[in-house]
Amino acid sequence: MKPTLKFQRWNFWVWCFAVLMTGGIYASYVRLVHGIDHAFSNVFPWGLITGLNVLCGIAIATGGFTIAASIYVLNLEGYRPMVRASLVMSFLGYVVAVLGIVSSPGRTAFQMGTWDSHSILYGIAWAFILSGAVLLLEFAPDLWRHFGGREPPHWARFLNMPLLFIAVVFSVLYQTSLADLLQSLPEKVSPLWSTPQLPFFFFVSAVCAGLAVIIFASWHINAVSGKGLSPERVTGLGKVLAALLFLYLGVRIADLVYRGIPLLVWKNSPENVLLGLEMGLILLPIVLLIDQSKKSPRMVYLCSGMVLAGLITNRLNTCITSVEAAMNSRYLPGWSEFLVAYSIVGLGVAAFNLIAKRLPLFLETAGRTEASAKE
Amino acid sequence: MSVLLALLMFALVMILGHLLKRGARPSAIAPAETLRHFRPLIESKFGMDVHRGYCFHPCHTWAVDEGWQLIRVGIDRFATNLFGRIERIDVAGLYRWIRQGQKLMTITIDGISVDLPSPVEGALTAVNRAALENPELVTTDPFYEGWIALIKSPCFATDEKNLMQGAMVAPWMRNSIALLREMCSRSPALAQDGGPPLPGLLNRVSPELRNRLVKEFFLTLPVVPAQPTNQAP
Repeated sequence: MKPTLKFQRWNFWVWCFAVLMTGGIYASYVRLVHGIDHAFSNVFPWGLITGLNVLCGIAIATGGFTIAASIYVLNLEGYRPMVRASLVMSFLGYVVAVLGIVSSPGRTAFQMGTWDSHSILYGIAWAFILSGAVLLLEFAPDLWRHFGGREPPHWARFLNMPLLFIAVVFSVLYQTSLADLLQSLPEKVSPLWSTPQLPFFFFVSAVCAGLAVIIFASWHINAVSGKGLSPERVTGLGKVLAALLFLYLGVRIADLVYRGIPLLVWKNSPENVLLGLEMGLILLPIVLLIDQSKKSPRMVYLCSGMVLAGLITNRLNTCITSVEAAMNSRYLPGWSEFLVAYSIVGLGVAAFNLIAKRLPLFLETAGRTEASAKE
Repeated sequence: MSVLLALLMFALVMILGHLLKRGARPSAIAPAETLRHFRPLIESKFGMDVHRGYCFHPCHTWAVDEGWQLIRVGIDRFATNLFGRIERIDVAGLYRWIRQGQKLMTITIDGISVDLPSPVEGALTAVNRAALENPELVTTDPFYEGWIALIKSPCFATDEKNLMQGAMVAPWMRNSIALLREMCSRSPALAQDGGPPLPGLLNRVSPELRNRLVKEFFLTLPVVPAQPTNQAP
């Protein structure tokens, strides 16, 4: 039989990933050797990588940690299967953010290794380390059995909760610090996005994004292997998501009204269109999820996709569109920045896919189901 | 512009994913009612009725591939015959991941509970409510109307190698019946006339023999509820 090369059995997505990674590696080489794109300037210190990788990655990571901690604190046993997925999501969110920071201009990579507690990047480094430790402890029983064949020591379980709470504290504080960083020069950002409540908006939208990613990932995992969340859990999460989105949108609109911004909203300008798009991507899921007759797992999945699109829009609007509006200038990412940003996202998605195939993210393992199987 | 570009990429990935999935074999969990579940073809081999396409776990649970990675499972007639009148069937929780050989259901007969394992590994996606509400269905038609659960098993090809199938089934069934006869013949209370075992044999034998039968054929021990003790005043 004629032997076939393994890459001939790659499907469409594997080819896309290979092409994207090749482009990303080449773009990284070009940026390292020949310098970054000319798109960056004193007007635009941040770009696509900061908005898409750093801000969105940290948002998803914060959401994941908050969800995991909430399940533990509120003792939501019915949602216990989500904890692992949340922790994996958080870890990969930080991986994407760290890679984005390393790819950005400046000596930021070195600053992460210093012990300068005044630096926001110091918080990222610690949150990243803690998230890795929490993830390792959560999967320790499976890893221990795989390599050692016995149960891990009992004392290891007691480290899980304290580390998780420290990681959550770091994530939340760091998320709010990032929002404050974006407002350090108020004349450079549009009042449509610059607000004293930005840390609160960032946090709530991060939790919404975390829920959306879990629903999104569960749908795709169910489609492939059936190891995702049950439809009842998904519709339950849809209710929580609708409530949080409603809170976010309500406070956001109230904030705009309080600051006297609505008059600006009706002006015909690109930033207003993008703000409308961002609000629409939040409002539409609320409308669809509130309607009981439409609340099927498929509808919840589509709404989660819209929420993710809304998160991306919000973060890019905050760091790019708001600067464009305030400085009356336009930013277009260079080809190398484009490739690097999307290759980092592709890497995060591929890593999650790989972990979901190897480890049970949403379902309890055999040993844990014995007690609850008798209910 | 960057925002629109990012949204466009996201939308493109979603649409491509949807289109590619439409062209492929549907793999989403399908409700049990939409699956084709044909009455099994029965062949006679070595004097035994063998259901074509069915695979059997040594603990007398069966599995049949329904397509879409969905495996229908149930109990075979040897087990239902041993049990006789089933009072109650409890199945593991929906969407729980169950390994091959792990407990899938608990059969209760006359207060005695016997655990039966799953013949395949996968996620439990549906149960036969009709059979759970009316366990007699399992006794009268265990291979068709009396199915117990649907399991989504991505690795059925591997699990299948550990099950009795094809030409192995008839000899295995004959051996099981022969072993049952031999174990029961040692009991002085039973006089065998050489015919098929009486239904509900587990209730007609002594507790020691019952434990041995359950251990031999279902690889477990029956759970008998503790009798209340009469305390002296």
